[in-house]
Amino acid sequence: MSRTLSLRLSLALFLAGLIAGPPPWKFTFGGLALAMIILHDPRSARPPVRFRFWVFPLMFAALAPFFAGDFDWQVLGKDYSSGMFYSGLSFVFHAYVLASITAFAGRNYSLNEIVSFAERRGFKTFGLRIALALSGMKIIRRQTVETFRQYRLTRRNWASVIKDFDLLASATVRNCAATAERIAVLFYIRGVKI
Amino acid sequence: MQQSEKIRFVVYTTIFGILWGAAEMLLGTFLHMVQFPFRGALMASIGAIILCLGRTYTPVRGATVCTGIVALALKMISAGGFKMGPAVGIMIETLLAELVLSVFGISRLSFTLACMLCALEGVAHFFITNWLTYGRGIFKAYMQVVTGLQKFFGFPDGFWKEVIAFWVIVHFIFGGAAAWVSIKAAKRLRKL
Repeated sequence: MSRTLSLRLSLALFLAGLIAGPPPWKFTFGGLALAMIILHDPRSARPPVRFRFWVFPLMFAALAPFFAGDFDWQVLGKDYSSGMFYSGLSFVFHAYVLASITAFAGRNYSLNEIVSFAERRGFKTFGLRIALALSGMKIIRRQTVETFRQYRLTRRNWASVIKDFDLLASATVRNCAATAERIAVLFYIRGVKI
Repeated sequence: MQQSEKIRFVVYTTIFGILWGAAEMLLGTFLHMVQFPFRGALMASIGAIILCLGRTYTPVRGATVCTGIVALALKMISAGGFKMGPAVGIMIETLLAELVLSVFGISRLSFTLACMLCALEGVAHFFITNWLTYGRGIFKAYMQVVTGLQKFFGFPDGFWKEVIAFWVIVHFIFGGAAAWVSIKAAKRLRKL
């Protein structure tokens, strides 16, 4: 199975899981979506998501049944809802499937492929924009940090920093426009066709 | 559009996209690290200011979307890797600002409306990303848990509504501040 077909099928199954209500359907569609990408790239099943991302959904799945649902279990001597627990697990699983699909797309498609895809779909200047963005990033970043430092130097406290924020915004935008004008002139002189 | 105008359109929108992308990468990452409250509203407001002021230099339909796409691309290839939340936020904000600026042109009203909508996008953003990440049924589960927690802590029944109202009001304040800054900055730049 090609990677594009794997991605399309997994996305379709993920969407079906998104619309499906009861947890069994969520597990079924999510499991199938996961299988589609694992068949092509097993390492996508280990998404590079930080541990902190899982803390909230896991806590929600484990603790929510103490407060809501039909209490049919006893955990640590307290009433616990098994339905709410399964429902919470289905939410965690859904998030895991989404993270895995995102990891699959990130691992299997390069920036060049995305650029050529966008250009084929009608966004003709996408490649030029990305190249310009990557090369111009350093200039804009340095310029913006320098503008902010200069602005901060002349203001002692944060209240005045916030009060004159429009001055900082206009200076930053004006500097960016000046840089853009220089690049545009350079493109024009060099005969860059758009 | 002449060749020189086409070049200016591409370069200006890309440079303003870089500015927004840089703000997201530097300030956004920092605010996320220190767990700054309402960081989404703050970043959305900064994005709205850049979109409004950027549009004054390229007052052409589609310019705001092009700026947003560059910011989105930079955010996607930034050091932290692809994050769905900010990506969805940038996309929705861009579309809202484009819609408002295309319909109303460059004016105080359009700046105010665009900034307000972009800041309030944070509210819609919460519901969209939660639905995408956890699927259907998550809000019902949230409501059940909130009701259970209200009872557990002895809060009045409608307490969650007051929390949501406070949350929306703070987003409104951020939007208002962004509108004020963008109008004043545009005046300083003699674009309004």
